[in-house]
Amino acid sequence: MQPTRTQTEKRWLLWPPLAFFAIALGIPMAMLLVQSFDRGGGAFVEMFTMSSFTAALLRTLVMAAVVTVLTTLIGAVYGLAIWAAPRWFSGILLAWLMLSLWTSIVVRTVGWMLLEIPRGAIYWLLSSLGLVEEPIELYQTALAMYPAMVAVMLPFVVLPAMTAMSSIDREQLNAAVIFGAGPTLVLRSVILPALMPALISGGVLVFVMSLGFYVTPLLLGGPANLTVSGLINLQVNTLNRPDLGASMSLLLVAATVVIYLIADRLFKVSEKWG
Amino acid sequence: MHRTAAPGRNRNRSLLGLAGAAALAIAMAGCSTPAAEGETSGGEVVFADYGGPTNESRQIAYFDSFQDETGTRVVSASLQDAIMYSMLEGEEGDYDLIQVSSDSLIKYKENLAVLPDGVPRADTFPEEIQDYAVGGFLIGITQGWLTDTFPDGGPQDWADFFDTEKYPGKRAWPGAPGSYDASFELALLADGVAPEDLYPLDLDRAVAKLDSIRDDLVFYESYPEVQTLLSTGSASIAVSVTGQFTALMNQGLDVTVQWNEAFLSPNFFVIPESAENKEAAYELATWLADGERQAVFTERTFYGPANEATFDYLPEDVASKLPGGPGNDGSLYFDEQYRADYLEELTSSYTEWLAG
Repeated sequence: MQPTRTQTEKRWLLWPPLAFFAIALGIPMAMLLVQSFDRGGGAFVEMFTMSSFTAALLRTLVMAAVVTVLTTLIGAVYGLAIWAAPRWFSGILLAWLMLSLWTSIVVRTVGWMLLEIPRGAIYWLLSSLGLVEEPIELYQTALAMYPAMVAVMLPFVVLPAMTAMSSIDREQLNAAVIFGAGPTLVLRSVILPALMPALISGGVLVFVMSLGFYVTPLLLGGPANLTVSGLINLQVNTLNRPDLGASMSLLLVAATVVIYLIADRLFKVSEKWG
Repeated sequence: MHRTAAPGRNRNRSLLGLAGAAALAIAMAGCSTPAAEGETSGGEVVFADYGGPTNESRQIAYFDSFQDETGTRVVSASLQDAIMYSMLEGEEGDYDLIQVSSDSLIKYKENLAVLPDGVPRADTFPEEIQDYAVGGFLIGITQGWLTDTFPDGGPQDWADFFDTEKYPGKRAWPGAPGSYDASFELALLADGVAPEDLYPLDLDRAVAKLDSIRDDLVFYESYPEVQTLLSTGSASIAVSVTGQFTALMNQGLDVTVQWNEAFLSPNFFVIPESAENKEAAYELATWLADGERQAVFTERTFYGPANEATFDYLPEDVASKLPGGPGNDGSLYFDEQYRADYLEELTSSYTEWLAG
């Protein structure tokens, strides 16, 4: 807050982002709403009578929860490692993370596929070490799918975690050690309290974003891992039922908003971003 | 219903077609509307397809020469579902020729133009779609493998495909929701149903048969993954559109394609009744049915020709690799009417089986 600026000046600054969201979010949402009533609005009821939809919805929620827990745990460790490592090594860790963030998700998914298929790169490595002879049974299992999804989401936990860690005063750590705190106590009473808000806001972000996963679970986890997004694609592109696709999309958006609002009420997420 | 892939030849028809086209061209010259802008005399005709190499091959084999010869501009449009469906439902739109599937043709027949007598029909296509289908080709859906995989000869039919003792290894299988292709049909054939008794499909029986092999399947989301799965040896057999096997052959790999009990699926344009340039579209339809031009298209794409006459212009080694080609006997056709009527049931059954 700059005391020299007046309230009106600051409000004026809000207009460009508001206009942007009105166009980029408002119009598509309005069109979805119109489309979902294409056949009289029965789609909102119909989708809940489809066992493929209710199953996909449950599957998507479980999947997002698993990804969130795994990503938060691994992200915390990764963030701590970047913070604690010598400068050259934390540079490498960070570069890895950014490189994966900048690579298209489709490219990365195909990369995982080439690793994980029965006679892919992992098989090639293991067999040249003499460890396996038969093709490996990894591709299109849960074990093949979660690492890829966690890798996609990792930056969204690690980056806020790094920011939080950099705000810890090193003198505070020194003080804790001087007063006789062991590593566990330092972690529990100095590091975790600083890290926790970042992990929670990162976790909420990851959960919400994971609700939109489509290609990665379908390809690497197999068709048994069809998500709501995949089902929406099916309605629109194969079955010519844009009304069903639109109402499923609206439900997904609504679920996202509700989950975010609950998380915000519980954890004050929005105050922790920025 | 199903039948084998080689009905009799009919060359008189294409001659007749040329005459018809000439007559049309004269008629059109008489009443042509002033060209919108520039030198072309005969207006334009708009076709909508999915782009890519097929579109490119169409331009080279058919449209460039048509444009030069007739002065009618051929405009390529990237197919938009919304425009397609509204035209299929009888409304106005920008397209004159639209690439649709057989089930869409059957479903929306009353809003499609019946080809005039002068336009030659696609004589390798099932009878019930011949009066509407324009500029077509045949796609094969079947099993194929790297020849080395089974030195003593590979699976001969779908029953062999399900025999994982005799022919071990994973099978690459369509895994995108709704991509059931020939899945139900081939499961029933493997389970002992005779080709002529396939329809109406016994979905419960088909699904039970599919369940029996599920653990031996590796699923692909898009067709090109078939090439990766086969060439790495991750899958020993693949069920796929035959274009993927052709692509592997083009990379120098020795691939065996099993044409016995392969399903042939016609691919084509239709002319909606509401099209603006119907006369020009009929003229183009005749142009597309020419054997010599189809041979150019076929050699680029390795799709099966829509007209038997095309085989007269193809070298033996090309023809023998084509859906419906000489020696590739035992192919079957889908019952497109049934598949159109039961589109939603088939899609939801397959999606549920995939997700199960």
